[in-house]
Amino acid sequence: MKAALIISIVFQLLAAFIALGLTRHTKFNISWILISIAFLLIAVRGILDLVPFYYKELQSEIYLIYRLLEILIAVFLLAGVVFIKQLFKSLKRIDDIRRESENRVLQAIMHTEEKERRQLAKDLHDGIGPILSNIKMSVTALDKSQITGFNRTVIDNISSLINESITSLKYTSNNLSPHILDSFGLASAVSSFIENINRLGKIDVTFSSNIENIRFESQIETNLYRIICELFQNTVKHASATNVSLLIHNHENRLIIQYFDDGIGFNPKDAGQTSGMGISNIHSRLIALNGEIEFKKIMPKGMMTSIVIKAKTKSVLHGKT
Amino acid sequence: MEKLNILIVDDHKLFREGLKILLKNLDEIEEVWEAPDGEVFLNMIKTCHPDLVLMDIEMPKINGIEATIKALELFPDLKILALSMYGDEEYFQKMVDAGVCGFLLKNSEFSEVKKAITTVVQGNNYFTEEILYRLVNRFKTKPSQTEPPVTLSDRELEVLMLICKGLSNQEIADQLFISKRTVDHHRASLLTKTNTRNAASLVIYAIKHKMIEV
Repeated sequence: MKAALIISIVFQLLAAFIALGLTRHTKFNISWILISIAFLLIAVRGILDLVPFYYKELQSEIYLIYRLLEILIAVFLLAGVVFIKQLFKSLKRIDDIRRESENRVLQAIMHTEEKERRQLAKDLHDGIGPILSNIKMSVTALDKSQITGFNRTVIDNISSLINESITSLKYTSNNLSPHILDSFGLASAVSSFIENINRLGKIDVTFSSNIENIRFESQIETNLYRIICELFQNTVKHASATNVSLLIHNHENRLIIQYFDDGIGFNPKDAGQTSGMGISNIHSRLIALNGEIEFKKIMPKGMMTSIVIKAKTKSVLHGKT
Repeated sequence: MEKLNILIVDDHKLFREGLKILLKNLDEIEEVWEAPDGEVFLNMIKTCHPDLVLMDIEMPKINGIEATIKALELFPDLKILALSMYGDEEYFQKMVDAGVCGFLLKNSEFSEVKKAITTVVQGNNYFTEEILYRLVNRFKTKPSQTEPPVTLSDRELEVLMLICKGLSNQEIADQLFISKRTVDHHRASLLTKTNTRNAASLVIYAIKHKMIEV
């Protein structure tokens, strides 16, 4: 009996020291101090348990101290637990701050990437574009009636090479960063993108929006544009769809995007894991925009993607005929 | 025909100089002046009087749209032909609204540049086919216009077609066997009915409402 009590006292003291040691590692050290004191008191109570073995006459006094100790232990434990709750709260707050700063880093990376892309696209288009155009004008200004034989073949070859380089320069620059997005906003850029898809004749796209003359923050416009392109690319590559409808609706500082295709669809649960980089790109862009996305399979076939983000209107253009 | 003086407004020096060499070689051209941006251009036209201005759109300080508007406020008869890298509807619309007589892409063949210059100097409009084609496609994909197109008489429609083809009033009169004054009258009534400012905006109106095929 005595041995068991001594062992329990030793363990209680050990627990008290460990709890005290935790105070160094955590911010809310008061909770660990309180708990350490509680353990110490438990140990003291254990020692008191030993007293009657030696001094039987003190039993009634010890009983009183014993009750008092129990109340104190309960109070210290309660206070300690309350502070631990606060500790968890603060851990959660730290977690939120970390997530927010990750978000900010993500935004910064995307912003820098877009800025570089835009600059490169501009340099290509506005710097090299006019030079190529001028070469084309010059070559076509040559009096071809005076050029015959091999020279004529060379000139014709140069002409087609120039045309090819002008086309691919436009394509590259537009892929890097569509100037129309920068100059005229999301609706115009999306229209232009859809125009190119419709021209291919594989899928028929209908597009409606109420943001024709509205501009948003460049970060919102760029990310949404890239997301929409990604959705189209998924449809074209994987869905075997024939029809796509896209709606962009601006309502009370929210942008709602609904994208529907009548293709084979995919399992929304797999989105992000098995569908390659596309979907995960969309997810990280939406994290940067603080937006929400939902993929829904439509019966009998098709896929509906809904996106909602908060977006304050930056400016509204008037007077467009 | 008197020899022409042309002013190229473009911020790309190499492009300007290259085009100048080509234009100066033409018999019908007397002098080719250059301006690197809208601001210099607006100062230049106060002293020199070009027969035609070739205007870029994206430029530092004052861009082509603003420069066109300001220049036409000073000299309403000045003939400005947009010469741009961008063939997007938005640029096209803005330049036409600003009052240009034509729109040409920089990647045009030189023969088209010559044709555009001649057409505009003669008082007509010139729009490169690539843009008209794109415009028609664009309106095909867009939901139909909310306001219904106005009703035009058969004769007015005929005149509209010919205006879109870039014919002058005299040429239209010759083709339809009517007097030039009647054509003037039809043109004026077309502008009023469609609430457009000039022939260029009239052409866009016709395309938007699918009244003509390009």
